Amino acid sequence: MESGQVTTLTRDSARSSYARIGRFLARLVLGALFASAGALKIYDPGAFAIELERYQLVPWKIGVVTANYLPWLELLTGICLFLKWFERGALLLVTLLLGIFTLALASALVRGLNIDCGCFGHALVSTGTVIPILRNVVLLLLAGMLWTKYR
Amino acid sequence: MRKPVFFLLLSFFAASAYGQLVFEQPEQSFKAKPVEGSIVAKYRFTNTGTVSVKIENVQTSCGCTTASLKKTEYAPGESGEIEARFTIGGRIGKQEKAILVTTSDAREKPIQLKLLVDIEDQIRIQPELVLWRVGEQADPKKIEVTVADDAPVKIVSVLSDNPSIKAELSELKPGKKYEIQITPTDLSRQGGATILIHTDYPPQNPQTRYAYARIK
Amino acid sequence: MMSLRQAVLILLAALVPAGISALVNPRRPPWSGDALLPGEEKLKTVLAWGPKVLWVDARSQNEYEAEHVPGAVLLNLEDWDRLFPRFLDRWSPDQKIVVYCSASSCQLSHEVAKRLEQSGVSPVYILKGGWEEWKAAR
Repeated sequence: MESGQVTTLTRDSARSSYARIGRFLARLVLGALFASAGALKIYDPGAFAIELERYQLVPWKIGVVTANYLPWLELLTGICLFLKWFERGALLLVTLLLGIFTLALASALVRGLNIDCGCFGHALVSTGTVIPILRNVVLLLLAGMLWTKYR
Repeated sequence: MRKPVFFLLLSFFAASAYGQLVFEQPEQSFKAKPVEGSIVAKYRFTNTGTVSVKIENVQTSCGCTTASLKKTEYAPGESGEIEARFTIGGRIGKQEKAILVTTSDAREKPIQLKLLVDIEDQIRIQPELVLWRVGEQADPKKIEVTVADDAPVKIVSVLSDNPSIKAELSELKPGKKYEIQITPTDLSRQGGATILIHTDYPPQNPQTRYAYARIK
Repeated sequence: MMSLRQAVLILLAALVPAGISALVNPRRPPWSGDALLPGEEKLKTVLAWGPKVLWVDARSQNEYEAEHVPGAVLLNLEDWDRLFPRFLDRWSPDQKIVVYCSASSCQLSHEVAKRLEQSGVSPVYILKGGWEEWKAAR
């Protein structure tokens, strides 16, 4: 009886240490990606606002507010996640943001938006829209892994 | 128990890719000199899907770029190549051209390939245009022609296509800096001339550049 | 819930640098979406200039032949050597030149305008919204 219990405990702790390593890596990857994505956009909010306008989801003025605010939010959230500060809050924000980004990209894809030059008319989607969607889905799965800690 | 489910979900998302053709380098950059005439870019792709894909249309954003394919149907796993030829024409500076590829598996979502060419300006003509107003004094005007340092080009002669507007070439710095003096003879009415600037490069087909004189 | 409280903290903390950036970042976006880029003019303004406007179409020959602004002269970078002298024949220094291409996202009008200015032709303006804007007003 004693030996049986010991065996069960060893199996569980082996599996949970894989999970721990997985979560550790997921946290670093997500945190670093978000922080760097934010850092890049902080430099030129004007260019980001123009990018947002191409998706035609929100009016220009809302795009301006987003272009100024979002990069800083991404940077702080990424850093918090990376350093395990306010980890639950950072994870909640990361999950929400990823969800919103993916929906925005998917809507552009579905509407066949004219994201690049107006020369071709409509139904033009560059390969630059689909790959980010796939990437976001993978990132959401990583975030999902982190949530399992709080079950 | 959870791991296999995780991988199943991952593979599901990976398989539902936008279209089965995957391009190795959808965006290509080149540096060119005008004398090269044209740039050829090769876009390699592979059919990563499970069904055969037909390339239905390859469209370019301008007449200066033509695209060609050896065949249109590609089996799963098969690779192919789209060859794009960009004719430089009179252009200088950074050019960005797009090539739209429409495939049978994703007709509403064409793939966009990009061709970026940075064309070095070997000969600078400043200004391109000299202007006089009718009734003005017939003072000569000067056009400066500068040849880039590493360019093996020389200006041989200049010619005005209108005998009443004279063009005279003088060499300020041998092979590098020239001056064209344009002198109109009759400013009582409107007119104009195209100034042909003859070079010696490339030897088999020497380029001619242009400047313009106008009386308005 | 702790996660919600922490999230709100991060959301609020980000407001501070974001607010500062919105005020001082040299590359911050203009508040008005209607802002004209240097050289651009709205269709309304151009139409008010009347007959002294010379329209320049910076698109391809095919697009120009399909339809263009009445009286517009074709001038693109592709065919500059062939088209520029023709433009010069039509041009008079008293005219206001307005260049357009397909839409506001198209860069061709800016490139042609720049080349025109470099060659000494002025004043050169760019139609905000391009051909799309013209068609919408008809």
